[in-house]
Amino acid sequence: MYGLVNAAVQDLVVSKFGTDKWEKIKTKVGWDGDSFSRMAQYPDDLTYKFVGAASEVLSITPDQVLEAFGEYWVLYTGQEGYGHMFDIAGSTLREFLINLDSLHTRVGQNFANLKPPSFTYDEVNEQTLRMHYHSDRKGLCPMVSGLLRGLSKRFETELRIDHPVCSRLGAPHCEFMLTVSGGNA
Amino acid sequence: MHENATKVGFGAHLIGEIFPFHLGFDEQLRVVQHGVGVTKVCPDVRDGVRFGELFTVYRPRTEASFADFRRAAASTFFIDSIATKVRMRGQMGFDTESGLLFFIGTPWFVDIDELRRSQLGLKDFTVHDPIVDFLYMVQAKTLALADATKFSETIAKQRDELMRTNEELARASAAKSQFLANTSHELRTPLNGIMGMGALLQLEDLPRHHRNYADKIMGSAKALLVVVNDVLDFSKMEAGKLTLEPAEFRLHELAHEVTEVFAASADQKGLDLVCIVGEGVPVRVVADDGRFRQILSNLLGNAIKFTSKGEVVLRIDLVLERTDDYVLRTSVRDTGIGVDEQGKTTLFTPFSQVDGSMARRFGGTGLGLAISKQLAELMGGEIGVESESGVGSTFWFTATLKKSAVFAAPIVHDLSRLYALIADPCATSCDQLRSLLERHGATVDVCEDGAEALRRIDSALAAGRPYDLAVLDVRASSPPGAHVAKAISANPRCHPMRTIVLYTTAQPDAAKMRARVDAFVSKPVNGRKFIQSVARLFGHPVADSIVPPPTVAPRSRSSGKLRLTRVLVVEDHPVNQEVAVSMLATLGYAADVAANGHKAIEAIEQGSYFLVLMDLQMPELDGYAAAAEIRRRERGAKHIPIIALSAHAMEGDRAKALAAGMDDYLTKPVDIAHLAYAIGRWAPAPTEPRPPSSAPRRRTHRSHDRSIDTSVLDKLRKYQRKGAKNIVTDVIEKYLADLPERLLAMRHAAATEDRAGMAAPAHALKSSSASIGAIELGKISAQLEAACLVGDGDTEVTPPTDLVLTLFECLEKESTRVRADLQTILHDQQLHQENTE
Repeated sequence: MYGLVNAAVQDLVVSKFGTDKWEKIKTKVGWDGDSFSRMAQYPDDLTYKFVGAASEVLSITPDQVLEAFGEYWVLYTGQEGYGHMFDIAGSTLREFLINLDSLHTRVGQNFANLKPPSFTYDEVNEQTLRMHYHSDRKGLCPMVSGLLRGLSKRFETELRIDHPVCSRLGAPHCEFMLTVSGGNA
Repeated sequence: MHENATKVGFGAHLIGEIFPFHLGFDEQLRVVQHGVGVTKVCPDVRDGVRFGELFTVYRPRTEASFADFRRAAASTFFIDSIATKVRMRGQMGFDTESGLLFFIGTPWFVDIDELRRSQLGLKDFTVHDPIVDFLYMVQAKTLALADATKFSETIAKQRDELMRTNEELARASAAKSQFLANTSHELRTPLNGIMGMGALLQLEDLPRHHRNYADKIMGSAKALLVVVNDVLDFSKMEAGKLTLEPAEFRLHELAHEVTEVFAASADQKGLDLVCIVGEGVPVRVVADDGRFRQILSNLLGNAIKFTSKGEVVLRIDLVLERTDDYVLRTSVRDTGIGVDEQGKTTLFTPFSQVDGSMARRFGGTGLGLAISKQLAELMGGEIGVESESGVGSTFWFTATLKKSAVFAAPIVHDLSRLYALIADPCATSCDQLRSLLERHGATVDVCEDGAEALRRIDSALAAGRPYDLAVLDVRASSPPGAHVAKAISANPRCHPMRTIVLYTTAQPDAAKMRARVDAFVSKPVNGRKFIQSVARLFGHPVADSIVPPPTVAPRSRSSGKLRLTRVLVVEDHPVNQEVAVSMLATLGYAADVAANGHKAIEAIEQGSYFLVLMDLQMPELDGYAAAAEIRRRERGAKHIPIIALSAHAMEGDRAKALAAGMDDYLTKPVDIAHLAYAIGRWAPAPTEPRPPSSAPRRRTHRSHDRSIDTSVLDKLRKYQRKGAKNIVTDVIEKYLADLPERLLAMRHAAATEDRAGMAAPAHALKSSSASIGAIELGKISAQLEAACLVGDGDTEVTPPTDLVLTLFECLEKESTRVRADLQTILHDQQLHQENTE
């Protein structure tokens, strides 16, 4: 996982829960660095450990941690030099969602060893998209829910998110039903 | 593709889809078609408008003409929009079919924000156009660079902080070292008072419990001095000022002296203490003997401290001999509590003891080994430990010692005809003695107990090859060695056999054994002296064992013609003034005091002093300046010996004192015996001595040719009761009965140069002589006792053996006079009595 992800976890914990909690999480994980190099590779295991430790220290479930992180990720990457990337990926939520796969593909080609997830869509009707989420990493779908919630806030567009098919329940991949109402859709 | 296959060009709509940023020009360079993307970055592009109205060419450097563009078709073109300044990158291509010139390109951005500002998005770029990917990559690298810059700034900041902290620490450390040095100096000044007065108190004839108090005060003060010295050394070490002052010394003697210092404490714990100097270890070497002694003392002290039963063995071996120097390995092995693996890692670190409870149980600063390590390294060696918890430890260090200009070959006696038996319960001690005797050619048997010794002696007699020598440790059990000695004395068949009894201070009565013993040798055994004793017993010539002083001869001694007897004490501290004056009085010297350098110079100009004791740190004019001034005024005409007294004990003090013109150097607290020795080196013996403080202080009226001050006896007569036995006769008779035994004990001790063995009878003789008016004999006894006690601590100067032996010789002569005079008095007394009756 790129350091950017760990940096976002750190930023999330510090901004929402304070430095003390982050220090506790670090101690639990056994990480003694001060910060992460955003473009350097870190073992996936480290990120999972942070999620586990955050769940213990903050007394919330790992799914809640992932979801909070997904939502924060949009805000964080938007601020941390990726805002322009977001900007050119679409001016509406729908356009952005459609470009999401292309965005990940292009970014994936530029970074060695990046294993980006993939997002494809079936158009159910004008308001509704069925999103197919594929990832080599298992169990991160709560983060996708959070991510979508974050995008809904970024584009100031109400978005109803249903998650009828989940890889954690045995499906080959997760499916989300996304229904846009109002806003810039 | 085959050459004659039909080639298909782009249709107008396809070229627009695949190349949204293309432009088509006719021969007049007028726009005839363009992609939809072009108008997003250059809104003024319309059909029919000339190239020159819309764009400038940045590269290649060519005229904006159809023909020139065609010619440069293979070049990379950068064209800038005049209206929006957006630059496009691409190439020109001429289509022969349509006769049009095409520019195929894409907007050229190096920052993703420029793309956003041009209101372009992902959808405006075709999939084959990598500009967006390029921008993503640039963005990623920009972020990585920003991170790297941030990290490097953080590191630079941390480095600055670290350097600041380091500087602060260095300052704090320097301040601490200075503080320690100052404190240590401040501590030594009052310690001088305590130890000086304590030493004088010990020389008094005290009731037993008062003596006990005085001994404990001195014991505690000496222990405190060790701590103060450790702290001072540590502060020197921290400041990098711990250096060596090499001088020539006798290594074997030093090892045995240090071991002897610890003999009493080893005895108290019932430990066997053995000192073994291996074969080939040089006799004379050049090194810092004080520091070498310090490491030995530290290792031996620790070994005894941490061992409750068994033995402690000091061993010195020659590792390597080179042209100019020797490499020696010195080890101290014990059978104590040992050190575990973890303990070994911190042992040589300052302030560390194996664990905190050690400090409470065993005391100590935890600095000794750290200082020893540094000293060993300064001597070109290293220090280490091999140990097993509960089994024991061997601490060792190596050191490189320079060769002496004078080669002293070890003396080898031919003892090849000697057949000896050693009975000693300590196996290591047996091994040591056996190896010593065998080294000189003797044949040796060993056994551990007395019964076995007697059996062996009997069977050797029966076999017709009796032992020539029996070496018996008084502790050899069942029966004790003393009994064995008596049994041998009682058996006339054994009489050709010589007997040496080994004893320790724990058996002080050994010397009084009523047995025919040829020599007493105290343990720990000094190998050289042991062999000399054996050699003497068997009539071998023994080289003069008297050791000359290790340092250069005094530059001058005061002229015998003048017979000056006063010493000038230059010292500002009132208690220390009193200490010095009292010590001098005890040694038989009168003294005056000057409180600073100026007063000292005045006093020397006016008075007649044969020697000056000079404190170094004084108000107004310090010792260095005063000494320099005294030397200046002397102009080489005469030379008054000046002995520096310093509480400072810092690096270079000695050198500074000598450079200022002083002749010798003593550190405070001053030991009375060191003082006696130092004065002895530079001055004649006192001619008008003041009696020791235990004797009557008032001036006596003894006739110059008699050894007895009769006024003392007159005083005694006042206590005579009518009808009782004559008190004077009684006292003199008791004294005369006791005197030969004391002299015999001293003679025995002198034969083996056993100083501790001489000190006790000297002490007894000092008091008893004073009480019958044998003032001179009392004084000589006091001096002898003081000289014998040197070496039981922090010695800087060790009086050579000749001082002890010379004093003993004087004592014997004086005792002959005393005996004769007392007998005359007794005779007169009896005549007087008879006459009155």
